[in-house]
Amino acid sequence: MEPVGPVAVAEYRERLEKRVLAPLTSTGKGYYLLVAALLAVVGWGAYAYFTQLREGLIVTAMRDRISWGLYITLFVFFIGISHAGTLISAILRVSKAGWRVPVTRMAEFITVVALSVGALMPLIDMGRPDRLQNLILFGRWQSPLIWDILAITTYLTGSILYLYLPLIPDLALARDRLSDVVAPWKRGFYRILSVGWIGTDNQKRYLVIAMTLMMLVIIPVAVSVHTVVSWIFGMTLREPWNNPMFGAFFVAGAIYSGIATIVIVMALLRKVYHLEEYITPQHFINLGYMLAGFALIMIYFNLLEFVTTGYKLAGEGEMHFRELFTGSLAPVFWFYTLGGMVLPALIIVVPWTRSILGVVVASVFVDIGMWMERYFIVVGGLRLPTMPYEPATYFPSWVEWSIMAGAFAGFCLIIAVVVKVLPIISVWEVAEHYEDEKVIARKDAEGVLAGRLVAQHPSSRPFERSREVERP
Amino acid sequence: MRRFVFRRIALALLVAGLGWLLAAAVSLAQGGGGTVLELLPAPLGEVGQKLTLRARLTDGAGVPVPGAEVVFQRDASFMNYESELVLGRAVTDAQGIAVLLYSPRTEGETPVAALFRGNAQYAPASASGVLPVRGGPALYREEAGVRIPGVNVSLLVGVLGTVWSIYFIVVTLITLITREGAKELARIGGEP
Repeated sequence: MEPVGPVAVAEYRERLEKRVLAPLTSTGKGYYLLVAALLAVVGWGAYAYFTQLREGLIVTAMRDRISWGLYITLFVFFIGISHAGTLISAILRVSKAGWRVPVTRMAEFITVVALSVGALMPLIDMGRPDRLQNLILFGRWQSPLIWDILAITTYLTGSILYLYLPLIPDLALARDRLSDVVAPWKRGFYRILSVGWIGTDNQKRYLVIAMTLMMLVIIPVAVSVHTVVSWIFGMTLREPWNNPMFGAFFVAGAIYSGIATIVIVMALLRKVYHLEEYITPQHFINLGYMLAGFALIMIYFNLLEFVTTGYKLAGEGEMHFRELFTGSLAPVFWFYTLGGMVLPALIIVVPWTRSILGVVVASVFVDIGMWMERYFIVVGGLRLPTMPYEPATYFPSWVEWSIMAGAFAGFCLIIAVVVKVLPIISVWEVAEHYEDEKVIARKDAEGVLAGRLVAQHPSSRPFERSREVERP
Repeated sequence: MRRFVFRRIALALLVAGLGWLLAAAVSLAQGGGGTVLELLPAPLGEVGQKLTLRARLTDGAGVPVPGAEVVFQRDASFMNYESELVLGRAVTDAQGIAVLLYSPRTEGETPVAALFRGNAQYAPASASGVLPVRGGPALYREEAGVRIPGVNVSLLVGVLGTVWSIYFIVVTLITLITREGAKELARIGGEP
């Protein structure tokens, strides 16, 4: 780290503020075109949904035997990628990984947006959303569906709080810096949401306590959410879902697809808003390593599952095994295995392909592969007959494909709108991190702590590092 | 002339009536009006072991009725619903005997019934009896699951309550931040 003086640190901070606040004040023509295109797709999805509402679920390809299809696949997929925020932000924050600072905000955005879109899917799958009240009025505490509602509500609330807390100083920054250049509604928005933040010692203390509490509680909540999602399948009497490891499998898969989604969103925002100075190739490489690590975990889990069931081939397991490996679900299964796990791991492990582009390509494969995994878990599990008849068939109808397109477009649209309202990088955290690094480097250069290099390293200052959030 | 016509009509009616009586007598002779189904005593069964249920179908004259379907059933209740549970169906042999292999699932004296639904030739008939079964406990439990002390709804409510309490503390801290900012601004006389 090259040492710099206080002036350079101040310049860095000013440059950072200008860069991060720029999207909140100026909007190009391309943005409006993108929003219009996304709105068109969302509109088409809404039309498809109203068709389903009017005609009933008969317009989908779901029938009595395959009663969960694309919607529940999307539900599991979106809840999975919502783990992005928890992992990058909370886990790396707890482990004091300094490099995470510029990407935490995006990760937290993804969590909230993905959860909001994902939670809609069971409602769409219900066909009659007006019957939602029956789930509350007549739901049984013993049912995994009720656990799921409770877990997702708890996680969504926690994620919104966890996103909001570190935003407070940045909202105050926007309130102070942009009051003359933004629309009155935005001024009011920043004023209200910044809750009178002026950075007093007491305010900092309260913020630190709140963030620490949320940091600690959000990790188990996130893990519980995807475990409970897995129980919706695992608690039913169906052979392909009869796997006690399903919870761990789902959590690992969720984190895996979550990291991939962060990489994709990060690459897009970095390019569009010229954030190259703050989101460096090293961030992609680090996330790439995490991606490769989780790819290996996923490969291991799959190996465990398929070697044990494939060796025994007991009962209905044999039929499911054949369906996946050589039957009608084989193309989906093999794309997931080779394209969704092996290829991404190889791209990152091989040094020649380990670049920003390589990590982004690997992430795209991971997300497609994980979507396919959710698909064959849901459809493959229901496809298997529980009585002696032929396996049911399912191929989504145009209504289901349209609603899926609408859901993805809605996910992108919300992110596109949010980046125009909220700072996409945590300014105060990035500035503090930079300052920390530079101060250490300067002290090194001045020889203030000559001969005590080990003591100067950030990792050897647990007290200061653990209190890094105290300096917003 | 008129008297002659009446006599012919009366004669025709008499012939028709005699014909009907004759047909009824033939039908009775074939057993159509007196089908008898008898549930033969079952041997003492054991829970989970196969035993043989037998029922004999005869006509009114005691002649065995072959090739007729006999349904064996017992009373059953599921949740709040009570009905007959069909144990199985069997076709009578040349001796008019229908045989069903059945594995009882509960011990005790189980009331069972046999039912012949009737056809064009034979009237419906039914019979009931008791199936004595001994052995271990029932193969299913009246109450599902294992009750572990402490693992119940209270645990779920407790865990959720803890998490939501932490959320509440966090929201309280946010209000403290707001109050602190307002206090400081009032002190220095500024506005946010």
